[in-house]
Amino acid sequence: MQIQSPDYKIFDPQDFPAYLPKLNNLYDDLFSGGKGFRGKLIKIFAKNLKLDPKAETLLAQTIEFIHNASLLHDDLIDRSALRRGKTTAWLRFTPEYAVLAGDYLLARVMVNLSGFGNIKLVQYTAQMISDLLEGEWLQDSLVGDFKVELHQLDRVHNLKTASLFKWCLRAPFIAQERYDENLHSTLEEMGTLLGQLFQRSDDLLDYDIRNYEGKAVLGDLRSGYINSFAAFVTQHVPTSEKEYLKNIKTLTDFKNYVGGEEVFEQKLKEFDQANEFLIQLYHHHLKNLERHLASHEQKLMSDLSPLTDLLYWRKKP
Amino acid sequence: MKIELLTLDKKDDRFLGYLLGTFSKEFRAIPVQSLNVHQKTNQVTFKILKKEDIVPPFLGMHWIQILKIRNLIMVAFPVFLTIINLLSARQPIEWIYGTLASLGAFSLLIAVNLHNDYLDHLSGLDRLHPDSRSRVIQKGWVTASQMKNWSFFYGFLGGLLGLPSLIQFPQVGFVILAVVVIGLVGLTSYKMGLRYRRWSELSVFFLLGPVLSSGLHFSFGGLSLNAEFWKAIIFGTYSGLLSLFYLNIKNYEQIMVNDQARFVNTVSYLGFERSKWFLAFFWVILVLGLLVFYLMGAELWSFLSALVISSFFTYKFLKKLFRLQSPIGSQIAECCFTAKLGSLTLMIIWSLDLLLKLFQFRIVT
Repeated sequence: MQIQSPDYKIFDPQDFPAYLPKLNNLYDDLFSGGKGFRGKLIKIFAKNLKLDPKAETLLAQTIEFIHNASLLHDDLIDRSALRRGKTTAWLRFTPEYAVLAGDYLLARVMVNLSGFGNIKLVQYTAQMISDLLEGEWLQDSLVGDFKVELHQLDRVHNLKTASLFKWCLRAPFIAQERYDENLHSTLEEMGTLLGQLFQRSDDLLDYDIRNYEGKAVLGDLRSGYINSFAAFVTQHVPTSEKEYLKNIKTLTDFKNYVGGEEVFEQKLKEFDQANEFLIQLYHHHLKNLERHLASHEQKLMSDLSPLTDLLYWRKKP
Repeated sequence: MKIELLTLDKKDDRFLGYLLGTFSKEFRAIPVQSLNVHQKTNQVTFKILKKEDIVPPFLGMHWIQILKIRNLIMVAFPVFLTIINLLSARQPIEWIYGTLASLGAFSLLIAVNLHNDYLDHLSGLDRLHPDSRSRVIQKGWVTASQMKNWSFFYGFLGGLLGLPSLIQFPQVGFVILAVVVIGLVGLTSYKMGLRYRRWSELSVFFLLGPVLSSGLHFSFGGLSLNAEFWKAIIFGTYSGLLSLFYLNIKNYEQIMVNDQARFVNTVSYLGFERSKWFLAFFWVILVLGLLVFYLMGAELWSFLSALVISSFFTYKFLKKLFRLQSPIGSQIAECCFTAKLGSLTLMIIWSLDLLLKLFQFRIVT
């Protein structure tokens, strides 16, 4: 069975050894859900930069493999029971298989990329995976720390979340052997901002804000983790009172803790305002990207422009 | 509210003007922070703000932050020790020369701090490193150009204030020579602020330690190579170690960003776990050093008080240190705060004991 992210053949059972028990079942489960957003981002670049179709498929497969590998490991680390509405791999199969399946995806990425022949792409991908793992490690070290500050979380998210977005923006140019420093510096900043906005929007879901998909609330807090929104809202709470956060069980409790519904709404406004600046910064960098693009590539700008609305405000395209 | 943004390449003619803040009298250009520490970049994005919209703190309180007044304790403590040392030995004190030299030392420390912040800003380090940035430039209170000018002013003032001591006591010249050599090697070897390189640790130890205390000893009229001179060196060594401990604690607090930016200092070299042992050992040396000073002439109750207070901080600090799970987050900040408070407490209790001894000595005699 071939799994398709819309428009993509991401996973073909021929990619993996058939003799390994349960491996293909595990991947069937894993790849059959998800929006494939990162793969779609690659498609946007591929279309506008006229990327070679083989390169396009390789890049899309690479990012989806890495992303899904991180999900396999994440779910085990967090002991999550559900992923995309289904039982998580470590529960359905075994924790050992979940770890190995994640490792195998990463190994496959390296095999496929090294076959492509662009050493800088291999190097950059390896760096990205390293950053992703560092971010995971650091995030895990912050569980139970209710006094962590937003700027510290930003550093973790820049490694854990933004590294994948940065890769999506930079890898297509690297695949075309376009290595201009200013271009990549601009893309790096754009990727950081997209990652930050995506993470912050995701963190808002935990407090039932713009939660159109009806995801469970307070999951982060109950797991002992202060996300970016909670860190922002509680920044003026005296440090000695922050330990009380571990006793909070409901959203109403949290709103009362920060000072009531009105204060909560006011803090949300301020959080959105702070992120408006990040959105403005993203569009500023996007404008600067223009000078690095050929005339036939300029449509990339209009394709990348709505991403902030999609990722932060969760507006449908 | 939309903020005006501008990205400039470092090769752009306008770049230096924006970076230094000399491009306009009505506007300030504040570099936007980047989280990408290890990404090489030739461009900087600025926020352009109207100067009239930037409101500095009331009554010029921002100057306390600009001049880093609280760091001056690193000079104040050796000054205090020098005076006590000479008073205890009943040596005549040259108050005017000593005071001028002390003010000169304060000025030089301010000059070095301002220059460090200026270099950090010029190199772009303040955009990447949350602790390094001279927050005063980030807030738009001063421009980098003003900071550079102030550093030259305080440097010149420091030299001027030290001149009478140099003329009166030529042996101060050796101290000044040591300062110049250490300062030139440290500041000119690298294009960024001093405290991020290994050389900075040695510089801090010597400049705020035995070099400073020997210079102050001579300036206050102390004689060369007598018992009080060697005591001054010992006191200076201890205060140098305190300053070095403080620097290492700050480096530990920023270990993650320092490591990502490839700064090599003792703590980044040792890493997160092994640095715990290094800092614990360092702290124990400081405490034992203090207790040895006490053993050499303190009353029993004074020694026991110091023992109890230092044991309390040792317990608190080491407990927090060895329970640390993350190089980021609130725990490391709390641990480092305990260490800084502990080292300040060591200074205070020793100072109080010395004052008490001097007071008792004066009453008896």
